[in-house]
Amino acid sequence: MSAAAPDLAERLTAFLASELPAASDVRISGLKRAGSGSSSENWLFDAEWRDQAGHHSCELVLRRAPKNEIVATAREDEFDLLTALERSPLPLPRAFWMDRDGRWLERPGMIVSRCKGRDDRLLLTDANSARLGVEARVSLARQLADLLADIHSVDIDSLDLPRRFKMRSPAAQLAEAAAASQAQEVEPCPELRLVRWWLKDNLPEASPKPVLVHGDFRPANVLVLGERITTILDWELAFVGDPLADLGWYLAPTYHSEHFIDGHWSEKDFLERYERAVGSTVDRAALRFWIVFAHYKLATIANAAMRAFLNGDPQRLATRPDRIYRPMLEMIADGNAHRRYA
Amino acid sequence: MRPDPNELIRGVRQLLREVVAPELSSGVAALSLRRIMQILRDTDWNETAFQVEAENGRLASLVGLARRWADGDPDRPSLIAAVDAAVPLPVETTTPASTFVEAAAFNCAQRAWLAAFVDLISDDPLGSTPECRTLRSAMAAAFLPSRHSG
Repeated sequence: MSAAAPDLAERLTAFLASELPAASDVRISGLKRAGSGSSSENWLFDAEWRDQAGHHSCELVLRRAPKNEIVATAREDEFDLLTALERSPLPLPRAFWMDRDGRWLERPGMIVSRCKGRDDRLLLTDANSARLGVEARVSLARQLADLLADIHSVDIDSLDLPRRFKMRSPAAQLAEAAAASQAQEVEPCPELRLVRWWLKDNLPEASPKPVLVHGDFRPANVLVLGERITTILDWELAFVGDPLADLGWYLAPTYHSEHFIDGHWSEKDFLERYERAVGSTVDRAALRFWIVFAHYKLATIANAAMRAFLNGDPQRLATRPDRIYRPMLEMIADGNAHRRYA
Repeated sequence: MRPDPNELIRGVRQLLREVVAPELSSGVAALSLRRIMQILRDTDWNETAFQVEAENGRLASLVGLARRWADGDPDRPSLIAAVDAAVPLPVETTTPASTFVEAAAFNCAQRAWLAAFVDLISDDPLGSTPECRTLRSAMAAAFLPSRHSG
């Protein structure tokens, strides 16, 4: 248990007791922090309690807002979405309880089921923690494309989604992203203003068939057991919009080495597999906007982390944000540059 | 100059790798150390000040590019005047800055001027014309050899 854990264990026990008024003898054990937690703190723990039905024991995860939250409503959005998706066929953690205002857990946090498997952002690379060979990794890469198609095939009209998940046009998304970008700059960034100008000048029409967009779909955000993906995690950036938004995010050049396997699994393979799974063709030219836009939002996240670091949060220590500007600048400087990426 | 900054950082990394890393039992601490090592590795500490000076030269070229573009059309100088009024730029000098702080301040001033210029033009109807798109491509290309090549 880390130094912060005893206090958190007490808080968790009190919170669970408040959520389970009929329970007695609520106990928390094995509390430990997992991962580096840049967008969320993840705390693994076991909970036990008794009630009229008998003794209960659960393996759980607390996902709590970090001290310097980048997306203010992230956990609440994620909790409400997971609740709405509970009956969908998607492999998801089950959302149990939410401390919306952080009254119990110090900061907003939700408690979800702990699913089998491990997360590994290097899953598809030679450096994956399970030492999987190329064949297994290609199989996982195919599963990722299929899972993304499954997400985009969810019938959103049948879900009881909160109003804030309503369809947002590309123009509205850009306006929101531009405001966030400017607010998070740690120095004046003409590079990002050039990209915003290009995005504004190349706005696509709103998608005629909006879908559930994960918003951060990548190997880092799934759990894997053996050679099978068991769970899709991290829904805090999800929204209803154009499926190309997820494709652009997955194809963002900054993630190339983590999302593709040189000589075995390319951008073309990924798109073809996805197209077969959804039964429609992806407009490669339209992807250019979404790849640039994905990078623009990634730059904002990087700048937000750096701003938090400069304001005294050492957990946000990271490489310079401007390292991820280059692919965007290439794509807006040269109309054909995106073909290297998709 | 011995040891130079890179040599010192190399020693720090070696100490972290060989002495500190094996003693860590917490996964969170190990991940944090990995991040520290990556940042120490990814920065060329010997070149930092010179990179700012070099970028200042490139930013000055971009300011010049914007001013020359404005000279090509009677409507455009007013745009430049608006930027100059909003973000006064220090007088350009040909001598290198004598301190890192001085170089970084000039860097920030030029960045602010260029950001204001791009914001104004992109919100202006002019911004969607083919000439402006060409200017935008040229400006984006001009940034490419900068520190973004890391």
